[in-house]
Amino acid sequence: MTINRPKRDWKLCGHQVILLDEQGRVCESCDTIFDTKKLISDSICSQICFLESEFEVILNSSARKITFEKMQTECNFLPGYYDFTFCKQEINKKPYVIWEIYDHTKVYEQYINVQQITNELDIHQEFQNRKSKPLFPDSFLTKNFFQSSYLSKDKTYQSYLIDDLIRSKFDVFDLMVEQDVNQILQLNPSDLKESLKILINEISTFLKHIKQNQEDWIDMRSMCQAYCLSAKRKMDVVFDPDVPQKVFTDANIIRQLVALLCGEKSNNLNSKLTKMNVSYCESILGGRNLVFCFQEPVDDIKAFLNSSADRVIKLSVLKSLLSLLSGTLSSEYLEDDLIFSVSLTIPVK
Amino acid sequence: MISKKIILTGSFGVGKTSIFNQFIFQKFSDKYLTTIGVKVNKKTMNVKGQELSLLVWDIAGEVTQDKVPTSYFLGASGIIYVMDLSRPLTFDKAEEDTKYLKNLIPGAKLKLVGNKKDLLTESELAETVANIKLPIDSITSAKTGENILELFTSLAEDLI
Ligand SMILES: Nc1nc2c(ncn2[C@@H]2O[C@H](COP(=O)(O)OP(=O)(O)OP(=O)(O)O)[C@@H](O)[C@H]2O)c(=O)[nH]1
Ligand SMILES: [Mg+2]
Repeated sequence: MTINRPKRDWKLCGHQVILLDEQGRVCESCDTIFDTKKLISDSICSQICFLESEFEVILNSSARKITFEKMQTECNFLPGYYDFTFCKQEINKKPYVIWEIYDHTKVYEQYINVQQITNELDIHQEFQNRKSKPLFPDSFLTKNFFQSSYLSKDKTYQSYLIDDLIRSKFDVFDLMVEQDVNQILQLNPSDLKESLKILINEISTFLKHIKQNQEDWIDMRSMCQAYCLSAKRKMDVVFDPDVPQKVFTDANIIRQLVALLCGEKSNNLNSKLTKMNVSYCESILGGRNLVFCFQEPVDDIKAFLNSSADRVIKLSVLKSLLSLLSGTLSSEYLEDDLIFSVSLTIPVK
Repeated sequence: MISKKIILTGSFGVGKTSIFNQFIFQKFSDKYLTTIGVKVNKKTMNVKGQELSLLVWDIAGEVTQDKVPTSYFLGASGIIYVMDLSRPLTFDKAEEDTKYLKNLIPGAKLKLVGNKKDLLTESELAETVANIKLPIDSITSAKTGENILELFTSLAEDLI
């Protein structure tokens, strides 16, 4: 058995497979994230607290496959955020464990930002509610909580939030940074919170799906139509004639992606029509690029940003999700139209 | 050496990471940085003359505990359930959550902790504790370090 199998075309980076024996010794590894040959001791378990704690449990568990999401380790060779899966496998009548590591650092860094905002909004609301019915006269409640955080100053928390969000926390586009963010203050915190909580679920679902390899023929046209319909989104979808009727690709990933793109809905859905164009072109990497281009009329960019902080965050999360698949997202602001382009390489069979 | 897995759990923002950092590194920060997923670290203790390695899991706080993947709880010997003494909402859920955890990990020893003691005056503390229906095992401050080591020591004693 060899683990150095070619990695799936979708995942060009950030995926390592390691075969461990019963004692936790590395038998094979494709060393894409860290070099197992540099490990100092025999068993990997003595070098990662998580494995020291859990390896026995994994070996003795009745489940064949166990997943641990959003893992951080204390080791400098695994410094980011990862999903781990452990799959028990018998080889020549001996038990082995296949450990797969998915590097989701970029996505999880944004996930943390989103969770940070929703948690702080929740706690802020908790304190607001308490003020009308204080348990104690003293205001000790808020004294320490919000130091150095988004909501640090009770009254101006919205500007803190937006400022951080647009300037640094999220990888947002040039056009948005140009705007005077200090003027963008009237955001509805509870709307934002709700839509960010939905986003957190969407990220998790997406990451779950990219771990399953389910290649299939996909009819892109009817899939896009179906998602637009279910999102109740007014959208004019145009396919270039050279996009084949069906493409053979990872069905799970493409479904998740189209759902994210088409299902995306800002809370002040503008009445004007959004256009989506799908085209197909050669990729420098040898496959084919499927390119989605969105064109959305915007009367007033400030008003748009003001009411669509959730949308801005979502696009920036989408950008990092796409980067897991070596896709890209770019944007420009052209004569009152906001244009988003998503490009993704689809391996052709 | 015997090693035992201990999980730190409870609602978000109650101070799980702060307790973890105080116990493992004797450090505290005022800044709130939410945790996602899990971070594991260990500390060796001498309990009743016996060397014991505590593998501590700092788990992200979720509004509903059933959202935390059950794989995190597998094989745990000890549970530290943390509440924030300054936020009553965090003890409202304690009964339901601890019931759920006891059910999920039947043999595990559980410690119910009220954290952020330093934010309350003595009378506020008395009033707050009286308001909590469940018996609290430990009242801590991750900020000053008060009762943190004692909390882990007493849990470790229960485990051997
Ligand atoms: N005054 C005081 N503040 C504390 C104490 N413990 C934690 N904090 C503060 O409370 C906030 C939240 O602490 P964390 O340790 O990050 O909370 P957590 O439970 O890990 O939160 P999540 O990771 O989001 O689930 C931070 O700003 C800490 O500085 C304490 O004992 N006293
Ligand atoms: Mg934490």
